[in-house]
Amino acid sequence: MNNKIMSRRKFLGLSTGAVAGALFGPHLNLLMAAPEGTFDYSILPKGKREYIASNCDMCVNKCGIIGEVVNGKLHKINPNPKNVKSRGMLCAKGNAGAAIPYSPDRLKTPLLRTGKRGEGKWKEISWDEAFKYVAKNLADLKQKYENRSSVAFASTEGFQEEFYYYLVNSFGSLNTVRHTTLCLSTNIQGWSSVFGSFPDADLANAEYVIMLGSDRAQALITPDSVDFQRYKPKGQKLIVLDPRFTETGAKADRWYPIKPRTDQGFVLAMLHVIISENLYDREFVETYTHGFDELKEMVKEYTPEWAEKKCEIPADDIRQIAREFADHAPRSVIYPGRRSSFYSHEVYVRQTFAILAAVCGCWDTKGAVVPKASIPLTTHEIMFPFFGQTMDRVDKDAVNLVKDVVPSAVQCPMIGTGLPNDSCAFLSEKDGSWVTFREAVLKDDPYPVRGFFCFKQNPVQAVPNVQKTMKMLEKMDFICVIEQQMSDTAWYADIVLPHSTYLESWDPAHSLGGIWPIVEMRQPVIKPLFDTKTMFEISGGIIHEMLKIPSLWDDIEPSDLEDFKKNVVEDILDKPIQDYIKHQLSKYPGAYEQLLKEGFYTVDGGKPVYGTTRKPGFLFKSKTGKIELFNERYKEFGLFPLPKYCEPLKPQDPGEYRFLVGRNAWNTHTSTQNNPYLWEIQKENSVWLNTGEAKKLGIADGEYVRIKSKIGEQRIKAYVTEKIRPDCVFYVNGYGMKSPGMSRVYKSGASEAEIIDDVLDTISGGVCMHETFVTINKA
Amino acid sequence: MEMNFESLKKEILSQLPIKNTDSSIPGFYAMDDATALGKNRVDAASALVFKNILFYLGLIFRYPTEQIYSEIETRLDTFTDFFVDYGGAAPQLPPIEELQSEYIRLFVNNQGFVPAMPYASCYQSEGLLMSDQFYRLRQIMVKSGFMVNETVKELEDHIAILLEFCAGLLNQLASGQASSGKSSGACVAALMEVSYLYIEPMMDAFCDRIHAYAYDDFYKIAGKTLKSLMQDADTIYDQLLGFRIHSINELQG
Ligand code: SF4
Repeated sequence: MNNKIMSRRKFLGLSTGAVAGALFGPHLNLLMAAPEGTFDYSILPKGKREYIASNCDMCVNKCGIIGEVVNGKLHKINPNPKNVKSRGMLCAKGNAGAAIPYSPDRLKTPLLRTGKRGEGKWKEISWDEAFKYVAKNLADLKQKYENRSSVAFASTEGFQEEFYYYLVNSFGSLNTVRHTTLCLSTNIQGWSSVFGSFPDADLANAEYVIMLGSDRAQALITPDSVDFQRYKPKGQKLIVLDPRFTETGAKADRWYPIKPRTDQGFVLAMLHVIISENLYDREFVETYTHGFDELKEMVKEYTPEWAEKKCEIPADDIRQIAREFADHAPRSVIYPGRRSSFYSHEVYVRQTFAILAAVCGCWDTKGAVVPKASIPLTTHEIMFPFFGQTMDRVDKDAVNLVKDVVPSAVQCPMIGTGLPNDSCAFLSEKDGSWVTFREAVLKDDPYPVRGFFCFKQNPVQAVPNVQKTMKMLEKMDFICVIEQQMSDTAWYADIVLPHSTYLESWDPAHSLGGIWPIVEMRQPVIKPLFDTKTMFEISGGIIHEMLKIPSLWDDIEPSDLEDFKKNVVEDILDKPIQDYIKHQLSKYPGAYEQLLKEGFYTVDGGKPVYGTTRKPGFLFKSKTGKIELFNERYKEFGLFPLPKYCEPLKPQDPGEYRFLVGRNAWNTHTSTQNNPYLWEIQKENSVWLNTGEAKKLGIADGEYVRIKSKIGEQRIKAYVTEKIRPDCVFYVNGYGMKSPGMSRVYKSGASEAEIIDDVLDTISGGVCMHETFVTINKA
Repeated sequence: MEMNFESLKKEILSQLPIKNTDSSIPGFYAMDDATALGKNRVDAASALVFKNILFYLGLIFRYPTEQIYSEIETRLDTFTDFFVDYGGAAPQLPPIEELQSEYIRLFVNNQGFVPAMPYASCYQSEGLLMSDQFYRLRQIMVKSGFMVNETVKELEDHIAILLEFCAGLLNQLASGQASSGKSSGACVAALMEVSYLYIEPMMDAFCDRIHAYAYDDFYKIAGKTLKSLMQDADTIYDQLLGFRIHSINELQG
């Protein structure tokens, strides 16, 4: 024992009268006396094991899961083999979800900013204080701007999102913006312009599948990714066109490294062959479609030889693929996929795909593309008040709004001949468009937006052109973020409200449409940790505080307020969420019990649904009520009614590469890279660079390079490969985090938001993430 | 050699008047020979001092609400010599807003990750909350007559709770609440387990991270003090309870 220790021991024994006499009152105790029988000793050390059915929330698919809980702790997540949508699959992310509730980084209690924005100074507050604070800020914003739409609400899809909309509608803003325009809005718009809806593909029964730019082996979609793996070896023929040799390409019968943004040319040439050789489904076309003659006329010029020059695929191969596609029809699929935030004019690309499916009759039958069926749930008859002080969406009619976010190379030849040039022609009222919304906020045109709510979305990382997003946040008087983690966006908030994880909460029932329609809900797999709440509880808490502030209700009729209190607050928010769920399921006796037991519910034993629209006289959601090969509404709007070929953007300077972004199977966009299990799989991203180009640039595999666009610059490792065309470079998203605190991925690899230009598709408002050109140099 | 339940148990058993090496016995708190652990004389005066020190340190590692801040402030003078002795300096208490934001940044939520995670589980196996050992801790606590107050939404292995738990056990020993041989022995066993299997293993990383990431000296000194104190735990327990456990370093050496 050394002297120092000896001296300390003396300290304990001899010189501590004051310390010995210190009395701490019981009010300071974190611990209390445990009553008899507090703990069930019998469960240890052997352990009490329970299996609880729920659904994954690590990405959009919501696969069925069975939580294996030992002594109250989630020990493991197992796949649910009975779930008809996920077909027993649980991917790496789904497995890694087991770490989510136990992440020490998770938000634990409401935090109020005390320093400057982004400085990282916070204080803890109680939920009561948080609700009061939010309600007061809403009242102040309403008072100051006399326009409820001066507060904007961003969110991403999820089971609790409907309760976020309770808050939105209780305040009365029309400015909502969702993730759709960052993902699949062009796809929805393009397919809907033909069929009136966005379909699924029956990969379980298709005989011939063409995938253009979809990487189903990596970007997982259920049941497609499972069916693609399962049925491809059973004789299904797969043609993949992608500038990269992807995992999906590796499984294909034929892979073509198509020149980016010429997919439309390829499909137009297929249409040319199919129509000129009379290979189309004449009966289907005559019975169900509108505008065939115009289409026939338009595709005359798009010969395979013409297409070969555009997309660099031999004309003979295009002919052969077209004939094979028609030959296997209706069990042929031109695959819709999901994310389509690729190129300007993307809506026309997707419209072309849909037209190919239509003329071959590959619609709403086994092995084709099929409209989504759904199991309708009972909705609550809610009337939110009609507020006097609510102006229309900020991006609704803002003239010249898109001028600055559509490249001039796209604008000039197109203006007046196919693309709108002032606002988005078919902007979804609820989804909005991130790019136009942000542009309008930055310009204060037509009015200022000064309040911003964000529910489980991270626009700082997810929306292209991060500098503009930061400027938008700077303009706000008030920012409230509801999140599970201290995201880059939460870091700039005034108040951060911690949301419970999907494994700890009750989530309402959702009807997931598809060929195999299904209802899912969530029940807590484990007891919640820390002081978190669900959006159901958060909306209820804020709305109760709002009701205490009379100025928040002075622009509605008193009777409307009374109805609102009764119908929304008392009947729904003040009751247990289980009552809400039971009401949703009231049409289906036993459904609630089955959901508790199995985590999903189906009617007819989960059989696929085909043929609901293949009935003479069926009215499609289009102007003519038919499948529109020639879109009448587009014509009215001055857009191309038929998908005329649009030339791709070209690099401005030699030495520039087109930047492509994508994802892998073990991460969801920007949200999972810091997960300890997933980080083990991939610790940083690297940029794919064609071998020949790398040689020219003197760059070796594994060497660090600088990738630079007009927006910004990133440092990243090179992956030198033959698997990408020489004119493109590619990396997966979610790395190179801005936040120094994203311990595992901070400065590991590169972020895409830092370099992608905010180019816009002016029909749907979707972003175009593959319209950025970059240079590459040694770092 | 790593300090785990088995090695700790072996170490204690080697110093007991009766020998019991039955490895199937799940924990000291349940051992018949816990009685033996309680037979040693407890230095009640020193135990009370140590109890107060641990309780005060527990307060320091709690979120500084106005009440906690004021308690820390009021008592700081009383513990100044202790901090100087163990932490090398007397901590200066910054204004409450500063302390609150520093606390949150270090221990609760930062941009993306928490620099000094205050939970013992985070320093075991996978680095996540509620490790397998966590449930054992909960069981020891309840068996010792404690549980986390129902209004407190914190995990049992938060450093502030661990310190308060040790303080509570010392109080039982010093005040004679655990006077019967067996309960006194169980109390000692619980103290040993919590000190050596939960607190000590997190000390290096936890306190070093505080030192690396803290902006203000207050938590740096508090962290250094806590670490030195736990390094000294062996000799302190020797004085208080009449037997000593080799420190991890010694065991590893
Ligand atoms: S695909 Fe993976 S992450 Fe997505 S819901 Fe299914 S299991 Fe979860």
